[in-house]
Amino acid sequence: MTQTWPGRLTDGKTAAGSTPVRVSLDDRGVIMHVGDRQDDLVWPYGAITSEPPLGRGAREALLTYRHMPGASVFVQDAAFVEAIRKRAPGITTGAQRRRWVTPILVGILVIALAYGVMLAVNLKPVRGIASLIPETVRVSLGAQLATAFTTRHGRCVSPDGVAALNTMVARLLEKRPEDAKRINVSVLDWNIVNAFAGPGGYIFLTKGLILKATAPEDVVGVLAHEVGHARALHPETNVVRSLGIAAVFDLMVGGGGSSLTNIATLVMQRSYAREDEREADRIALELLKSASISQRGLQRFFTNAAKSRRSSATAVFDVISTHPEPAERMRAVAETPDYPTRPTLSDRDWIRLRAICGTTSKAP
Amino acid sequence: MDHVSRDQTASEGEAVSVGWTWPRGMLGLSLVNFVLRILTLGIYSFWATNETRKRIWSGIRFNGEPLTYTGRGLELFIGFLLVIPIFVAFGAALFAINYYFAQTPSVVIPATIAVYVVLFMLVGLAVYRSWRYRLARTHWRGIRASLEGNQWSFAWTYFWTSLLIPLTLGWISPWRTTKLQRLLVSSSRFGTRPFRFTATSGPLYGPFALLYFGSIATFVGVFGTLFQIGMKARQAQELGLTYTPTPLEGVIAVVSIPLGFIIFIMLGAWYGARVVNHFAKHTHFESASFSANTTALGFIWIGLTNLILAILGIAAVSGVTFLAMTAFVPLEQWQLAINPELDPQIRANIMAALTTPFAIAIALGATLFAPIIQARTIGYIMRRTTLSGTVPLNEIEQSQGADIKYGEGLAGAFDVDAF
Repeated sequence: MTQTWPGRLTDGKTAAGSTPVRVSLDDRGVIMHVGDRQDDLVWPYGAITSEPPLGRGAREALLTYRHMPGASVFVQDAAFVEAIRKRAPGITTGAQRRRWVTPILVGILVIALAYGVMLAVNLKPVRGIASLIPETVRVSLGAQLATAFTTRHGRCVSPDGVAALNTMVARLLEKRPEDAKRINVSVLDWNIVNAFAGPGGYIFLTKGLILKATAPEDVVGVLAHEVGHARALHPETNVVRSLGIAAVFDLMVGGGGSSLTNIATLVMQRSYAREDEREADRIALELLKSASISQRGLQRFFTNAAKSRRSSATAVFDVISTHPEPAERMRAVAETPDYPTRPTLSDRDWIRLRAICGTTSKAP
Repeated sequence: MDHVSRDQTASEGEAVSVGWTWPRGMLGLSLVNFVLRILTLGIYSFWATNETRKRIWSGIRFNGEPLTYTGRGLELFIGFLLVIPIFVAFGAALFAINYYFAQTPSVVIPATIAVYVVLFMLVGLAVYRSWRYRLARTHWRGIRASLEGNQWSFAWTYFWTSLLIPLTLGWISPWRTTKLQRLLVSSSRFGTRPFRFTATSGPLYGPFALLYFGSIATFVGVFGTLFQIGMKARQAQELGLTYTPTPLEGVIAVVSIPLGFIIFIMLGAWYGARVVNHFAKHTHFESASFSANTTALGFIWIGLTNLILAILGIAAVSGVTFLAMTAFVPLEQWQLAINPELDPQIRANIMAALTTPFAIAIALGATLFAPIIQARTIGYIMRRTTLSGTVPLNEIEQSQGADIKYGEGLAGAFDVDAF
C-alpha cells in the first residue's frame, strides 16, 4: 500500500483557493491524485524545487514544478518531508548550499593556487598594475605623503645641509640622469633610525639615520637601497597590494585622509617581499659601483643596525629590521669585490649634512 | 450563467487570514551561514541572505498557505557586480574634477557637490529597486507580486524631501514617510490587482509632536539637571570648599542619562508603532483592509531581545578571536603596543593591528544571529497584522509585467537593506 499525504495544489493561474490532493511518492516522482480525475499528475524529482529548500526537521514542503510555472503543491506533514528528502536529495538545504559553496570554494582555491604559481615563477601582476598608475599620479601620491610626513615630524631644511644632501644625491646618480630627475630626497626631523621610499620617487631619510651614520657612505648606501626600491616601483606595488586600488583611487581624488595615514604607516612599517629587498640591494650595489662609491658604508650600516636591533626593542621598527634576513644581506654586500672609489662628500659637506636639522619646517 | 456566477463571486470575494509560523531551523541556518561566509571570504553572503529570506517568507501565511520567495543568491551577486561600475564611474568623475581643476576651487567645489548630489539621489533609487526586486520574487499560490511605479519619480521625491528634513527641523518627517509609503504601496501589485494606500500624514503629527517635544524635554531635563549639579560643585570649588553631593543628587547623576535614553527609546518605539498601525490601517487590497496593533512595549521587547542576541553573537565570536589571538600572537607584541619608548604613531599602529581582528569579530558577531533577529522582527509585525474584508481571489491572475533580472546591488551598496 503506497503511503499518501494530504496536500493542496495551486495552478498558479489565479489566486483562487487551492485544490485538495492526495500526494504520494514513487520512482516516477511526486504523484498527485486530484479528486475524481482518472489521470494522476506526475512531477519527476529532477524537475521539482522546494521553497524554501528542505532542511532537517522541516515539517512542511511547498513544491514547485519547472514545467508548470506558478503551480505548487503544499504538504504539511513531517513524514512526507522526510520521505521526499530521501527521494529528491537535490531539494534539500545541504544540496542547495553545496551547489554554490563548492564552486565558490573551488574558485578561491584556484585563485590562491594561481597566486602561488605566480609567486613561484616570479610573475608580478601587482607590479604590473602599479606600473599602470600614471607617473603624474604617482608623484602626486608621493607629494601628499611628503606633506603628511612633514606636517607630522617636520622637514630638515638647513640651507647648507640641503645643499650637501643634493650633492650626495647628485653624486650617487651622476651616471643615472633619468633617476636623478625622478628622485626627490628629504630628511625628516625624526629621531628614529629609518629611511622610506614612497611613491613617485619620494625618499625620506630620518635625522636619527644621519646621526647614527659614521660616514657619508653609510647614508648614501641606505639612500641607494631606497632608490632601488623607488626604481623598481616597490612602494607603488605595496600600496596596491596592501590597500587595494580603492585606496589609490581615494588618494587620486584628493581626499583620503585615512588612506594617506594607511600609506604613511605602510611606507614606514611594511616589510617588502624578500625578493624586493634583494632587488633593491642589487640596484643599490650597481648604483654605488657606477658612482664609484664604496659599498662598505652600506655594509657597515647593516652591521650597526643589526647590533642595535639586538640591543633595543625599539629598533624592531628601524630600516633594517623591517627588511628580512639582514645577516644574509650583510653577507651578500660583504662578498662583493672592492672597486676604485671616490669620496661621496667632502668633510665640510658631511658636517653640513649632519647639521641639516638645525632648521626645520612643518610647511608642506 | 457562468459569467453571472463569476461576477457574484467577485463582488463577494473571500476572507483572507494573515498568520505567522516560526520557520524551523533558524539557529542552524545562522550558524551555517556564518561559517560559510567566513570560509568563502564573504562571497556566500548573497546566498546566505537569499536562504534567510526564503525561510522568513515561508513563515508568512495567508489562509494558512506560505508566501514563497523565489529569488536566487546568484541574482544578488550579479546585482552587486553590476553596481561596481557605477561607483567606479563616480570615483572617476571625482578624480577628473579634482585632478584637472585642482587649482580652480570655483569649479572643484560645485562640481564635487554635484557628483555627491547625484550619488545621494541614487539612495532613493536603491530603496525603490530593492522593493521592486523583493516583490517580484514574492509569490503566493503561484501569483507574483510586483512594483510598477516610476523609480525615478520615487528617487526624486526621496531626494528632495530628505533635503527638507534639516530645513524643517525634522517636521517634514511624518509627511515624507507617508508620501514615500504611498508611492511604494500604491505602485505595488499582487498579480494583476493593485494595492491602495489612503493614509494622510495628519494623524501622525500629534504622535510626532509628542516624540519631538518629549525628546527635547528629556534632553533638557537630563542635561539641565546634570548641569545644575555640576554648577553647584564648581561654585563650591571656587569657594575652596569640598562639594559632597546629596544622595539624591548622586542617584540622579548615575541614572539620569540611562533613564533619558530609555525614555527616548520608549518614545521612539511608541511613535514607530503608531506609524506601523496607521499605515496598515490605510493599506487596502480590493475590498479588504489591513490593520495592525503593534505596541511600543512590543517593539521594545523585540528590540531589546534582538540586542541581547546580537551581543551574544559578538561575545561568542570575540571570545573565539581572543583565544586565537592569545595562541598565535606572542606576548612581546602586546607589550610593544604600550611600550613608551616607541614613537606614539607606531604604538598606535601596533595597537590598531592587534585590535583590528576584534573589530572584525564584533562586526561579524553582530550578524551571527541575523536570520533569527530578522525573523523575530517580521514575525512580531505579522502576528499583529490582520486583513479584514474580502478579496476576489479567483479574479487575481498572474501579472504579465516584465520580470526583474537581477538583485539589489545598489541597495546593498548604500546599506538601505532592511533584511
